[in-house]
Amino acid sequence: MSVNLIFKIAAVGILVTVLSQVLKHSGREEHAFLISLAGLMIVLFWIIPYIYDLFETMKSLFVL
Amino acid sequence: MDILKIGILGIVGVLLAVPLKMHKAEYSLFISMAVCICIFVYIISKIEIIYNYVNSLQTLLPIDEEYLEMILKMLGITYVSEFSVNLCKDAGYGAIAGQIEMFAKISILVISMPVLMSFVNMIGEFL
Repeated sequence: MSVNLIFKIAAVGILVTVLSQVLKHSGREEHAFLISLAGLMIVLFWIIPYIYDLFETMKSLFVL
Repeated sequence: MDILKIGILGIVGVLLAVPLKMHKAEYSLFISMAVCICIFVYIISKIEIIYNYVNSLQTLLPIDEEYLEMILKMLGITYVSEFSVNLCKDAGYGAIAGQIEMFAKISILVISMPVLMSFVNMIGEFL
């Protein structure tokens, strides 16, 4: 369930890095910035539910 | 047997995060956060087992329920603060980590105050 999350994040990270390098060298700075922003958003959308679940279980488990 | 899985999971996470740290630092932080969450899922199963033992122990030794709950609350606070402090330190922001740690210590002190008061009252009754 969450182990492939790590590989998905790594894949997005590598993809974004390569794409932004290519775009940077071909002179399109703003596209590179947009690509990295999009990658950031995607990873955030993936990881926020997990963090929410983490803190929910903490609250229920430790009676916080 | 579980410890092998945890160790490999951690090493794989680090190996994935290191090359990303050069180009994009935020992804290495995401990866370390994801690995922490995965390992925490295993920790929860262990904590469940301990919790069941403690409950069964409860029937033998009459421990007060609120003390048990207080211990659990302290455990939760320490774990959450540990999780966020280490993540902040990984990202290089020691100041924020220090503030979170300070808040955790103070809140644990606040929780343990009633116990101290009841202890002092008990001593007062003896004298």
